[in-house]
Amino acid sequence: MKAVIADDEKALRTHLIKKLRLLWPELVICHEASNGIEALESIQQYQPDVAFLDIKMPGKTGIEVARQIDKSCQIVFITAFDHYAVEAFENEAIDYLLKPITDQRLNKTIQRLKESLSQKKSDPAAMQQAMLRALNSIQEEKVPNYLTWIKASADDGIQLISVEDIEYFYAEEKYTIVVNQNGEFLIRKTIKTLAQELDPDQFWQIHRGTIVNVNFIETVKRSFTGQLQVKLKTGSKDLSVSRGYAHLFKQM
Amino acid sequence: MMRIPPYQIFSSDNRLWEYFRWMLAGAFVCTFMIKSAPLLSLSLFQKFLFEGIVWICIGSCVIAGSKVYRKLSSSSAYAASIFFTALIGTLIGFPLALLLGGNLSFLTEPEAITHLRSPFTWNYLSGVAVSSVFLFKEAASIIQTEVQKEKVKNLAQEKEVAEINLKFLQAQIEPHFLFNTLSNILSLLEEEPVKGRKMLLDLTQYLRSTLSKIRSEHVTLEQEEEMLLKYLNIHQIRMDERLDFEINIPDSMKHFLIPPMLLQPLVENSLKHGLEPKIKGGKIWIKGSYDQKNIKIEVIDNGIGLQTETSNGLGIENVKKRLKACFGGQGKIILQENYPSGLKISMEFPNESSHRG
Repeated sequence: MKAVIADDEKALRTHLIKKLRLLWPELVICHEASNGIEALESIQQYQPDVAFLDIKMPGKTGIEVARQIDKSCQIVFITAFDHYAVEAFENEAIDYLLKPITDQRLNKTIQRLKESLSQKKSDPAAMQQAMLRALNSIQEEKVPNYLTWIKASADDGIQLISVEDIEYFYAEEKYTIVVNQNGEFLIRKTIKTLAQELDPDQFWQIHRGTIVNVNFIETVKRSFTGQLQVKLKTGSKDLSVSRGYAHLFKQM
Repeated sequence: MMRIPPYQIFSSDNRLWEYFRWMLAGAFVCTFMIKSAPLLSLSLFQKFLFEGIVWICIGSCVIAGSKVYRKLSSSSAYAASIFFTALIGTLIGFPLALLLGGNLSFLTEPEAITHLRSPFTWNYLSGVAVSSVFLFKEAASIIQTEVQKEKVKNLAQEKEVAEINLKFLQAQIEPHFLFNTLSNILSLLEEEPVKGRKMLLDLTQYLRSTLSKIRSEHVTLEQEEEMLLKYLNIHQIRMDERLDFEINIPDSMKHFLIPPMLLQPLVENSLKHGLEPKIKGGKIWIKGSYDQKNIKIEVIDNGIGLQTETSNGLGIENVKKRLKACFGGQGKIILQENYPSGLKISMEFPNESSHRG
């Protein structure tokens, strides 16, 4: 029986190893990894029967490591508090240990591992299939597809502006100016590109050269010539809506 | 007292329809009031048609007038505009109604004016009365709704402040942090009891200051610094040699009073998104500076920085909200890329301590 143990926190790693040596003396610990990348490498190298993986690790998360293992290997996740993951582990394919790890719970895990490793009758491919299915059911944090940050050049380096704080964008020749509470900043992206990268529910293009943050709109007025004007809550100058985009404000 | 110009009342289709119904009711009542000789020969339906035309003309003129006089805001000018537009409405409505009734010819008769004076006055005055009652009633109900809205808004704001406080408390004793620290302590108590006991003490003090601080409005920078030190000590044991830190707050600033829980989320953000995900770890610098007007705190790390422009919020949104709640528009947070790597967060807010001496 071979095992690889991965946890970025040294104290926890040493403690787990010590416990395992005590409760499962036959287990050979080939490697102890301190990050996700190291964990994956050592699993590929030693091809252990069991891998104890901390979920939150630098480099790669335990879940990412488990997904990338190409040989069959029993996985035990270690987690302090990942309620979303724990539910998915109520499954034969993957076991999990909650920190702080108690001897009782660790013993139960060891029993389970011994059982499934001795009944090698189930073919490893099926076992891996089951594991992958369990892994796929884990919902990981969703990464938004729209821009949440804008990197803009300021006097003293590059400033990161949260899109929530941006009032509007306007085109300035080839580039774009970002306007927020602190002033105006230049970015090297065209309005056209931005219009595709920003969340269309929050940012409306109201003119060929203007994109406005809907949360900053106070009112929309119609001028004598019939042109719509957007008035911002911050009281900065009004923005005109070109006819092609006027439909955005119908029925409001 | 708020004034609602008439054009705003008619800006909603619902109210326009309501007004129209009021006017029809007026026409209906007036149908039975017609006593003028030349009109007495008409059937009841014809009389109703006649009145309907007159009243619709009055109503349309009042609505049209309200759009023209949209700038009027005083009640008397507002009432005068109703009198004026209703008069025009009646003047247009009468000949129109007679014309459609095929009765225009009798206008040429010498006594026509005498005969029509009474229904004309009657229609005009009741038109003004109905319009005024409707408009003022509607204006009052709009004001009521505005007052209600204002109340709801205030309540929502209060709720938001309470929620922010709760979120801060939750963030500071975030379960992942708490359980990880506890399991570290448990492991250390067996392997390295001295280190384990120190970690337990740090955690106790950190929790104590966090829980007591949430109730106070201000804390000194010294208290905040001590809390950060405990917090970073705990993380240093967890991350071992991967974490280094330096706190540099001048002694002259230590008695400054600031709202609690502004600094910890920034440090947590740097740890969680900058240093913990970095394999080699890194360092975090906390610097304080001030002038007559402002206090400036910088939290700088050399972690992985912002990887993509679509990454999730860095958990400083709460601090922004809190700054806004405490200082209005006067507090600000600026995020910058740190050179050669990592993130620099600068927070600035008014120096309230200097006024108190």
